[in-house]
Amino acid sequence: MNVDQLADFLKSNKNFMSNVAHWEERMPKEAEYADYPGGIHSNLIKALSLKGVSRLYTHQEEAVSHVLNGDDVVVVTPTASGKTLCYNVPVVNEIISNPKSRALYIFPTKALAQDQLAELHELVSLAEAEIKSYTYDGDTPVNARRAVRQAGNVIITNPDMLHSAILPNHTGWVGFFENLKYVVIDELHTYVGVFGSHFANVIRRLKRICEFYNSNPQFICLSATIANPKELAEKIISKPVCVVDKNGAPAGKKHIVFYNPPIVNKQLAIRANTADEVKKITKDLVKNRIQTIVFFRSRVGVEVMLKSLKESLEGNNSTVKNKYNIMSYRGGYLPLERREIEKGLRDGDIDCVISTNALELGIDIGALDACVTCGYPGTISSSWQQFGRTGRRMDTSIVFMVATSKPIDQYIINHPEYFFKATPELGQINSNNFMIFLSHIECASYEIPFKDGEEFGGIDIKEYLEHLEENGMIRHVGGKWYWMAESNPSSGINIRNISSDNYVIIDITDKNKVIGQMDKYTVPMLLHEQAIYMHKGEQYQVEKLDFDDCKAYVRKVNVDYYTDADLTVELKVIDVLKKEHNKLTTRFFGEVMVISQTTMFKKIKLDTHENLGWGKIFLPQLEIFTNAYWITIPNDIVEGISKNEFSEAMLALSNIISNIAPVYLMCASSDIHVVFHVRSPFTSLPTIYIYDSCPGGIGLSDKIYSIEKELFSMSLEHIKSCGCENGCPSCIGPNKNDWNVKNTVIRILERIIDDIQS
Amino acid sequence: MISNLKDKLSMLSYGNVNTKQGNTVDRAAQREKTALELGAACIKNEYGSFILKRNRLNLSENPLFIPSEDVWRKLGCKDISKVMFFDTETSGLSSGCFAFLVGIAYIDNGYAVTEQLFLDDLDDEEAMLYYLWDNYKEYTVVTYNGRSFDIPLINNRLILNSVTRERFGLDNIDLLRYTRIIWSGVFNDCSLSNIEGKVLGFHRKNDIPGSEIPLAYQDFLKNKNVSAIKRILNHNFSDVLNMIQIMNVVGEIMFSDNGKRTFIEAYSIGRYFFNRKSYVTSKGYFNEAYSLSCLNKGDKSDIIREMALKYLVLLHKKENEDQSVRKLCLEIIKRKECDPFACVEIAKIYEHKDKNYILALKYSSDALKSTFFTKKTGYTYKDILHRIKRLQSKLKVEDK
Repeated sequence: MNVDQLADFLKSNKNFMSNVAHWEERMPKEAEYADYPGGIHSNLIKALSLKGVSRLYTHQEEAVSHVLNGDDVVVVTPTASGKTLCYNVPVVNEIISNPKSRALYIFPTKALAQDQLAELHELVSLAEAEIKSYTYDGDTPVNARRAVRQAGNVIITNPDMLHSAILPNHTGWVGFFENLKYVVIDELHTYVGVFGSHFANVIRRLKRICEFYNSNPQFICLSATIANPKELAEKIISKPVCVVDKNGAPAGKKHIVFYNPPIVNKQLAIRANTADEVKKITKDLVKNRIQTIVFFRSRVGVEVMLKSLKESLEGNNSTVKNKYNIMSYRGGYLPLERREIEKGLRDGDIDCVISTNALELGIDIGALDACVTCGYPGTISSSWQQFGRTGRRMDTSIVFMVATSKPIDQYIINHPEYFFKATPELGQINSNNFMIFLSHIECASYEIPFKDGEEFGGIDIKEYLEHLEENGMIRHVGGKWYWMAESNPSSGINIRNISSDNYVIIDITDKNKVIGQMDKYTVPMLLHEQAIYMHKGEQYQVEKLDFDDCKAYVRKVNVDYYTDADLTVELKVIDVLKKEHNKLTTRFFGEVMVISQTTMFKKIKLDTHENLGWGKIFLPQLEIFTNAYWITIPNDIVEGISKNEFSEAMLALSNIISNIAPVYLMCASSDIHVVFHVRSPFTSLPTIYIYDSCPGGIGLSDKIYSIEKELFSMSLEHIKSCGCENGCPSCIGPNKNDWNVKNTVIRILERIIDDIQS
Repeated sequence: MISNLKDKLSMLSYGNVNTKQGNTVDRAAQREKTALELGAACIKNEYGSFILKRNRLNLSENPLFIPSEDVWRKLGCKDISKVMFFDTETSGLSSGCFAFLVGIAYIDNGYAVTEQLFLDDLDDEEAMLYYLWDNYKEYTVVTYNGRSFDIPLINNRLILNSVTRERFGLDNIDLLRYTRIIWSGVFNDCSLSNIEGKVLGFHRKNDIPGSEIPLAYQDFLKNKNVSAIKRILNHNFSDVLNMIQIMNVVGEIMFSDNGKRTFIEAYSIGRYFFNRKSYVTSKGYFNEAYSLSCLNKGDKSDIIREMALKYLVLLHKKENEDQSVRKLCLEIIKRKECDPFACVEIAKIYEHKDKNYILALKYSSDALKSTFFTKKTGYTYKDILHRIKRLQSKLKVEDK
């Protein structure tokens, strides 16, 4: 059976369809073409036609025209829509006209960089142009670096290299910066949260250095679909951008099937094992020779599924062995192994690949016919990236999303309109988070001394400079602030992290080996003793946490549960920045000081989310300044309930909010914390606080202030539509009481929403 | 929020708390005072001011050994009237540091002139760099380890201070390179201070150790006490003047014909040219090393003699000069009966050129008696056994 036939077959299968929560059919779309804009060299046009491109898609033409016009651009179209030409065409065109011109391409990973280098080389040689392009990253041999700096027209690098090697040594790149015309930022949507906030500051430094060398490059940004590409791009490059988001690329018919494993225990609302369901579906696809990709969240999951699927397909019949070519793919493989698998997929030799989200980003694997995801990928954006791996030209493709019993999964599966109609995920950054900002002022001071009155990112930095002076790192004399410390500050600053006090994670399973780092604010939650820590998809248990020495010792394990630490939080309001008062509720946004302490943790079973037990944690307190949103509600918001009941309801409400908020904010659930006070010392009323767990705030609670209505509405929707009787892990949390907490929470939410709307 | 910034920032202390350094001092007055205390002058240009201490040493009264014109040329100086010796003292060792003191020396008509450019504070850097660039941009710059440190550092500062984007010291000579060629087999440390001590016989008194210099400058910035700076100036003064003399010695040893070389130095230079494939040049040095070593006694001269002979064997082999090779091998064997290398080489000649298998076999067997075999192919125990077997079978055939 081909995809169309399989789709029809499944639709007619009552058993299968009883578990399908939603079946969406996306109609095919013809390609929309446009002629080349004026000013493109004939050699380049010829080269493109040799590659099989005779005209550009509309969005490519639009992007190229904008760039030729001198605009900064953000292109927002799905995977495999030919985004590469949006930047390669204007860049190659410019260098042909002005051979001294330079361009900088920034990719988040080295693998992507290598891919793009190959693409560019091909285009350049077909156009017979004298253009030199190189990657400049940790793998570039030291003796080649000087040649690359001086001769490269196009330099391809990553944010870390830009931050710690290129910008601090800009005097070795004079020719490059003087002639820099374009900066290309690919996968813009990955620059969110802490990483994005750091990156925005790296770009500020880049622009400052360009100004020093009298150049003013244009920015070409490319993003996957998020709600606010324009806002994010403008925050990162600090310039207005034109948005190109009407996709002219063709698409075949696509079936998107939301599949919910059947309930096997009604009372506890426990569902059948997701992985088993995934295996069943995949088996059908592979047997019909439909080239499939299966996404799993963890490496362990990938390997287990590979084994299980192979056994299931081949059984004991040795003649059938190797009839199906099924491979796994994950980040831990050697580059050569990965290149082979990528090629096998492109050539059609591999029937099925089981992967982590390593294959989500733009690496070229051609297009497949079917996709199965184990669980909701976490964000709408990631989901479309994974689904985007299917669909050749005008052929039909099919995607199955199989839900787990996690609250987010259940919400999505039951609210397809949320998934398909709105894209509320926002790319959030706070480039002015004081800790991140300070670290980049250090780097910028090292690069070019600040003058009195000079701003950075449009902000007055006098107090930051004075702070650095007091700590002996800078000297203020003659109207300038000179860097005095011995070393280059950027080498001690990890742009994927918040603080410099990082803990080192040491794997003691075989030989002691450092496997990673974690900032000290996240450590108490994830690396307390006995915690189950996930690292690159593998499970480890923390055996010892040395708080003084900043080291965590972990050992590889294979268990069927995860741990979740309880955080006791004391919150003090420092400053109120926004306030809105209604009849019943008052909402605030401002700065708070949070004193947190982890005292115990729960053990929760992986598939079913049952509570298996708990343990104690002995760790000191942590103090941070951050941003928060909080809402007060009156004690008698609903009548006829006892104080106890009200308190339970508040806890339940906090639970649902902490599950739903990360969905909206496109952040990890650990990026945001929710606490409640039955009687807050600041407001003297019952109050729920939602704060950024990252010190200094990363812009999340700020956004909540503007989406509060949607947040509460969504929470209400989710609880109402949850099939449990009185609360379950999938909505407000397990309920051990006699009275119906769920109903109480519903009533409270309804009144809050009413109040906000009036 | 701003009012809290100070509190928030104070949570992040780096432990090295300083009192705030004011920006309100009268810089001109401060600079004048420092200059006076250092016995120097203030120089002003369109970029600002800095401190300059100049000195002229009459060479007839102070005999310094100045390199001859021949040596200047052979070391690579294009225009002898535009050569300067250059050394900096920096705020640290990393590439992002700056030079707070630049020491320059050059010969002018019977005088050795030194100029020391000093920064009373960091904002004098622009003016100082401009002076350096304006006056010395066409000069050949002679340094000690400057190629990898001082010169890139100055170029970095020139760009950062917007003085120029052209390169300073494009034409440069790094004396460290030459001292290493000559003495790396002799001294384990080819630093300027060690070389000036061992080769020039110059020992500094009460010199400030290099490691203390960056901190001393930081202290000066804080308290403006010039006593440490005076010591640094003296240190730098000795540095640049001694460089002139080292250049002289290096030039004589490397390039003058009437040798002033020891057998070790000759051998070391020969090896340098051999590794660069300048075989003809290296041959001369190895010959010299051999002759000189014969005039000496002791283990060192024995080792050098043997090594020089072996290199000469390789050199003559390249020219297919069999007689010379044979002679040289016999020289080695004279002192070391079973040296594997020499025995094998001479055996090769007897076997392939003379077809004298008996002598070839004799020397090959001698080689086996050695107590030391190298891992080099052709000279290992196994290889020699193989050779002997082959010779034995050849002899059997002959007998028949």
